[in-house]
Amino acid sequence: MQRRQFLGLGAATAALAGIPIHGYTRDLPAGKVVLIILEGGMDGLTAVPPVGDPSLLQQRRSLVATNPLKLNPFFGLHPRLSEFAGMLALGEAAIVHATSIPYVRRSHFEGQNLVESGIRQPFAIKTGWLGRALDEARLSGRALAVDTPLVIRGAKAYDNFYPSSIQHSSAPDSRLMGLLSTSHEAAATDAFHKLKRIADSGDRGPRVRDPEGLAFSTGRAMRGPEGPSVAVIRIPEFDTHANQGVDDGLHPELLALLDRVLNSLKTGLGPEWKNAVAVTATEFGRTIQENGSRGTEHGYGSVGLLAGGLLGGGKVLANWPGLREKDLYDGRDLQSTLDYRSVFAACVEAAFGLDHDLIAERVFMEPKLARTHDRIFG
Amino acid sequence: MNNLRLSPVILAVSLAVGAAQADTRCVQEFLSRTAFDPGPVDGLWGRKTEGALKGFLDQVVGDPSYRAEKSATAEICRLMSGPRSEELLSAASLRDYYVTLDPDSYVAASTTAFDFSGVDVDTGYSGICRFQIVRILTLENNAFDWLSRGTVEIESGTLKFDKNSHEWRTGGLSDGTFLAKDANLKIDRNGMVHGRMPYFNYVVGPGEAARLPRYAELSYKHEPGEEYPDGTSYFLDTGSPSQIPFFRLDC
Repeated sequence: MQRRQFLGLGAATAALAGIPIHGYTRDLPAGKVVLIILEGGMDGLTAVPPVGDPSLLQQRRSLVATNPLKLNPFFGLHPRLSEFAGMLALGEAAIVHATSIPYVRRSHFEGQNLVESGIRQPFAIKTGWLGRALDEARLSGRALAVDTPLVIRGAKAYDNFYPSSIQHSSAPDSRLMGLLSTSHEAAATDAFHKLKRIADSGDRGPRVRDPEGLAFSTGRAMRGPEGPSVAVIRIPEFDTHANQGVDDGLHPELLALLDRVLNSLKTGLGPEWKNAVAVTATEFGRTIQENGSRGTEHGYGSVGLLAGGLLGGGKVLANWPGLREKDLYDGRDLQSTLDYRSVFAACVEAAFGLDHDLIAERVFMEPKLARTHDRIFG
Repeated sequence: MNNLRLSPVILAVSLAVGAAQADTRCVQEFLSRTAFDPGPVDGLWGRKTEGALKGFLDQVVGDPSYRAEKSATAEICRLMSGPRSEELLSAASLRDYYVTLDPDSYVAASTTAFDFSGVDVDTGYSGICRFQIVRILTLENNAFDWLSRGTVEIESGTLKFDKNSHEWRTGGLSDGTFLAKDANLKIDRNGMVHGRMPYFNYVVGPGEAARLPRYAELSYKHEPGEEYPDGTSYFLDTGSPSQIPFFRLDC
């Protein structure tokens, strides 16, 4: 697949929230969380192949990159994640493997809902875990949910960057923007002025084409204590049922895109990188074996990538379940040995300084959720 | 008689072996419930059990007085079945696989803005680099997007573009031929890239009139106090304050 075609398919969006408003925010948040949602189900065994597991090549020889970067004797990294490898080498990234949200059916629709809601039952709740975490960090009420979808249509189309909903409104509200911009300082004021300008003009506003450009401006907007505490970036198209690609092709291009997004985010955040953590999330992994059309089907366990200065040393964390037939979930998928919400919880704890028990109970409605903070950030 | 004299010895040996096996099995049983896989729970001390126990002691227990040795299994079994059992099980639910990439060599190899200073271009720096021509959108809080990217061969200080190894995304006439034919970029003695090159800054949609490139000087320009992504140093001087494309090399 040509890169041009690939970009024609892709669409990335970003949303910022948790912007503190002067006089209302009791405690400024310590850190920033960027959630990068990999929609469609990322193949964790391609991104981070367990090269030390003797069953890997037996099970999926045709899906393992030719030259994975060797992270340690057991785990490799897809070569298209080279910027991320640099972050790992510097100790500002980590990987959690054989993990998933607690969802074993195979519907994107339900899975994506659970990635965002953070509970066990799809469509049972109207709030998301990051929103509830902002609530608990006392940033709610002062949180501005600016949903800014961004369509990337490649060279021949125009892309848009616009606020589509503010506090449940489907249209940008110029008056609210004006009000908000006067209650902020520095970068946040600029951001609101910009949004107001867009709302006022009624046109489609400035264009940002690439997900990496979007990540850069997202990072830039988050700088400083007045910047938003939380951002969400979506990268779609991970649903690789056919022609997934090994060294080149769709899935490797998507990994390269994720790599550039992480790098641009780091550049955009600048000095704020040291107070930030970016964490990927996907609704499920992919089957261990290739299907008849050189792709993979919806699976279970996958991998989570984390990057940011809050992390404390490059490592892969896993309770590795093995890849022999008897080790697989349903005889076909990588088993998940860790509820991925534990990783979300660790990010919330690291960035907002909330107590784990409170996060488990109030944010994820799971009082016994395992605490992984010290292992990931320690 | 001989049998009678030997039997206590045999008994003692087999008891000791039995006890050691039981301790090994105890350790294996515990480890098999954690992320430190000891292999089969068979009471036999082997490399897999030793490796798993060592990982567990290093990452979870952190007390150097416990050693991953067969002779220590009785003591470790007591630890594992003692009051700290639950706490240790919970802490051992994840294993650290430390990343052993060398930061110095790795980061140097993946740097985004290659520093040519110190390179003796007279003797001919040769290599394939990736390049990007990126546009900064000054109205959009310094967001950027790429206009062209691909690979360039550097030979004796000259940048040689191949028309098939890069692309433009702007439509119009922006194919690979222009850079391959018209660019005249060199790395000078100070390691700076400069010269004349074509670039396309307008996006031309289907059905719109094709546009020819503009020609601009690539020069080292860094305004004091200004900040650009990655600290990139090579800017295209287009004569327009709202258009600040930069040229980024990755070698």
